[in-house]
Amino acid sequence: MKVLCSTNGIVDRFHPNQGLNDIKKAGFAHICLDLKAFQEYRKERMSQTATAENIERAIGELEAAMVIAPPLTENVVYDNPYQSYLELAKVSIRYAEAVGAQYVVVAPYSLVRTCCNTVMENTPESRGGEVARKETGGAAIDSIECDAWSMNRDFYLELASSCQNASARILLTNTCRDIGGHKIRGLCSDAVEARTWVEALNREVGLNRFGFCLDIGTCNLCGQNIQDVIITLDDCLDAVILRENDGIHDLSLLPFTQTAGASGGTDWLGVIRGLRQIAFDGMLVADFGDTASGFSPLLKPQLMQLVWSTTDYFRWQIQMETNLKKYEKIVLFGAGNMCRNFMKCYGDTYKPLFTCDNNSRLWGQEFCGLEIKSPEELKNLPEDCAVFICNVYYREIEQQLRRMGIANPIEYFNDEYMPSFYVDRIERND
Amino acid sequence: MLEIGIQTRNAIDDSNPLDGFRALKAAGFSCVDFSLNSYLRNRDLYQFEKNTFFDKSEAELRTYFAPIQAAANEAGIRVHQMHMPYPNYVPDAPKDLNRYLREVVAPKSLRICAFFGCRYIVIHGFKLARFLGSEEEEWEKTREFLEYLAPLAKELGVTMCIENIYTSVGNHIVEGPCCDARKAAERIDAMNEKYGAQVLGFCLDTGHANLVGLDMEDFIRTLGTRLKVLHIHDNDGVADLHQIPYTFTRNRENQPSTDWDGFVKGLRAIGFDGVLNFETAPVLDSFPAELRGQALAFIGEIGAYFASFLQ
Repeated sequence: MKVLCSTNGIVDRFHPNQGLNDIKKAGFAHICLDLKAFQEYRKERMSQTATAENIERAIGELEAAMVIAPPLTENVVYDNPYQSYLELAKVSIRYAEAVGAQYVVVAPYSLVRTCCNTVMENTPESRGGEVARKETGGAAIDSIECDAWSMNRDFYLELASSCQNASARILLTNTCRDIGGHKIRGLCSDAVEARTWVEALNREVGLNRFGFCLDIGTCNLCGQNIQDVIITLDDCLDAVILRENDGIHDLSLLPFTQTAGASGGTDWLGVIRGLRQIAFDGMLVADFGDTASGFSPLLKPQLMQLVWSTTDYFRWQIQMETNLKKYEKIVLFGAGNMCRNFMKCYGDTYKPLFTCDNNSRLWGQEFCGLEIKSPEELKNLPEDCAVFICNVYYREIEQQLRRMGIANPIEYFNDEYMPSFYVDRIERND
Repeated sequence: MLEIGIQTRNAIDDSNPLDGFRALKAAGFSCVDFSLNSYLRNRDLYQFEKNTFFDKSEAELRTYFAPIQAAANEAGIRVHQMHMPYPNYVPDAPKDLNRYLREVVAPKSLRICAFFGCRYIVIHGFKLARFLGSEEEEWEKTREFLEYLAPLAKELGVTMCIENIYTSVGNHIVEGPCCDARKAAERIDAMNEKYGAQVLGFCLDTGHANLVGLDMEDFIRTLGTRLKVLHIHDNDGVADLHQIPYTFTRNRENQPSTDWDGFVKGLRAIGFDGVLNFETAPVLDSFPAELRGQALAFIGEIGAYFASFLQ
């Protein structure tokens, strides 16, 4: 899995080097170049100061793995918005080529939707609304009369055709629709629709040229069941943009920062469950542009450290089961709720040899089908056996084991985001 | 023209139901959505508490509701749909409570529904995805509950309607059970085929749809004729406020922030011929007593406005 930092809010078109340096120093090796910042106002071209060559030079050792094509400027009347958007997308692919990015995200052309909202303005007699059914090489797509699929099919195929020599994979993404300032589900929000579109486009071009980038912030604005969305997209999913918002405003906040009381406002449980379930191994993009905008440039290096840690935490959570697969033999440390949760969700597939605990009163007892042993027993482990700590005192226990001379791999297990949960917790007085 | 309905909660006083039904009739309603859920409140159930209303025998319940039914008849109001008390399952509650909800409250609710001559009862799906790990497993629990009731529903000629409801992540309302129209359609068809009757249908709640940004037109088109009943109400997209349609805007252009256009377009596309039913009980708390009649009439007018597009 590649962990990417979005340039949104960090890298500006006038002084790109500073933000890129902050990204690099925080530990990121890959960036997602969001071209929105380089777009000239009301124009379907990039700023003269931000040529692809200038950006390529500024990126330096970082790898631009992904580029995001900008949208048309809001509230601007274009003579031919379709052509303007197509031109922007083509420019974006040229940028992707210039910086060596293998993926370019191009959102569906969505103006078609707004032209349909006319029923309440007409007289009752004038209303139609027949369902049009388009056959797309096997997959049937229901669409409304102005036919978003048909227009986007032409759009993406023209894009692919005009950039035949470009190697970048084109990723569709989920969008919102604006109803009087309220964001609701737009094109490709429905994962079945998104998957159908991607598969139909790939059939048409005869190559695996198209994929999907899931924007978690957009899912959150639309209150979606994100786990279901991810599972439906499955192997169509190339990239995931991690960003948080309050479910009302289309913001890009650092995950876990939009909290109310003890709870966050994004279904990170659903995100991690879904990505873990499909064994996601694509690109994980941290987009925190609005969080970054609030910080002084003097504090951004420290913020970037937190962004790196947060994104890497997601990678670790998503790969929790992948991590278990690495070892032929494992033992657990801890005989409490976390151990119980491990056994509930993973105990059958990754059966530990035993568990151990510092509480000597538990030694010799059985817990969730495992014998509880003294930590001293870990000294007799075979070399290839890993110890998975199932206790929130991770660092202390790891130090304890290292002090005891345990040389086996030590891994942290965590049950914050489990495939399922017990309704109750076990409580011990000792 | 399609009939217009409204829920009975806040509108009908059991001690003098005739006045309430007459007021609804005067406001332009010919149907009601009987709020059976008012007799066993959800906030109590979530605290593992319950009253004794459903301890009454079926004969006692019929005796209790007979004057209400008579008043509705006298006022020219028909009970078109009913809302079963909810939740039907409380996670981590004592087993006795969940057994009571399943074995006592639910079957008696169906019988009360039939007693009123009402064909549709709205039932909330179980909210268990967090614990069980997926919407599919959550649905299995709901399906098992519905199938427990299905033979009785078939015998009584009642269609149980699952409703799109929400859950929350912190303070943010997100998609809950029955928010996927494709899955709902498949599940409804499967159950109806199994029982050889219309034991299952769908209730679209416009407020809940708005809260989780559903594309109402697509949703309705996907459900098609499986859509049996409606809960029409509005909100700000943030909280479940159950207010009058067209109340909320989000920008200076002051366009409505709920997709009423898509709602009507969807109903029109499927040839909806049911009742335009409003679930707007809180409106009667919002307005002073002196204006409640006009508020009700305004809701009725909006229903008639919607109906004008659906003839």
